[in-house]
Amino acid sequence: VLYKPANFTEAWYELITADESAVKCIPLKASLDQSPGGTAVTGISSEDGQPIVEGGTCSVPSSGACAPANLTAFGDAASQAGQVCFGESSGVAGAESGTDRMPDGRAVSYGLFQINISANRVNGLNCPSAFDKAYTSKVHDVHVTNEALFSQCKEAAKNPAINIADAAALYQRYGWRIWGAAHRCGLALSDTFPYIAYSCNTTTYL
Amino acid sequence: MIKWILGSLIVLLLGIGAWLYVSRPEQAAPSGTDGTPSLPSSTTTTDGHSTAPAGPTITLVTRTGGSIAVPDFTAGKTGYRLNTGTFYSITNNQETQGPAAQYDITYGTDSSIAIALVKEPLSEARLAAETRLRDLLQLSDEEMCQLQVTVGVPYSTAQLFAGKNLGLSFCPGATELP
Repeated sequence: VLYKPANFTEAWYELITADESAVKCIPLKASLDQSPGGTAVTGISSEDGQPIVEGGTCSVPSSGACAPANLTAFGDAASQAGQVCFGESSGVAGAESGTDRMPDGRAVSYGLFQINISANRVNGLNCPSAFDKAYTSKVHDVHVTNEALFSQCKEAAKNPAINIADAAALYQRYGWRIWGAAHRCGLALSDTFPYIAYSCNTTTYL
Repeated sequence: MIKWILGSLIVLLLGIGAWLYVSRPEQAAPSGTDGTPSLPSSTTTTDGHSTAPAGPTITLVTRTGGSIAVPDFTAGKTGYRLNTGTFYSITNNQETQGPAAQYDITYGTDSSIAIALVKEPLSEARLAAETRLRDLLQLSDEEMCQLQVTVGVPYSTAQLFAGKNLGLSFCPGATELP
């Protein structure tokens, strides 16, 4: 039995077997078409051995807010969108990010697709102007400068219909790479972690 | 004459009272899965829910197509319409916002219940969410396992578990959590 390492990014190359002996693994680097509507990597089995069918390795909810039937704004990518939606918010419409938070404790990312309102317009509102700067992976010292607009943007982003529409527009512009869950689901690659799979003996893991 | 006037007034007041009673606005009825009112007397339970809950109910369709009546927990909640139904956040601010938040729950009239675990340790967050769900639905664990419940972890909370339906801890096939 092979166990996936707890820290995927630092110890992904080494798996520990049931008898505690280490198994070295070979990283597999794949090319992905990351343009909007592009196809995810294919031909590699997911960790439970199931072949990738429509691209991506995450669950596609058959019901709930993240069901593809609610994501028709993504066109042919609705099934992939379902995975990203579920990966980002678990299908909870009012989800608030547990990590993307300002020093005052309030979140900056909301809703089904965890839209960062300090960096993106929501429902036509100029939400970035409600902050002194945009929250990024490196910039966390962000403060609200317009409380009324912040509240409007937050409520709009927690409205699932608005969130889906705005996320679809972001997808059309940037593809899946701006969503962390898309990387987790094998739908996009990042510069810092370009490997989407690793092979241990004869088994391939994502 | 005075007696006649008093008598007329009494009759008039009784008439106004009767009219007000008949024309009073109806109580807002809870909605079932198809948006139609669902009351306890008309509840159908086909998946072994032994006792119908008191008060207004909603009917949840199970994974196998059966139905289970549960108390209407959507009262006073704001619903958002999507293609497959209307979706309600059924947890309150204390549960879902701020550093102490452990979980968030959304109910959809497509009979879906989505639970997001937003704080580690995830096993404790799931247990807390399950306790809340039990309280809301007033169902046994076995009955809850029949429902279309998804349990997920947002990517921002724990990347390793993101994108997977982890299941309720007491249901078959549930993922063990740290």
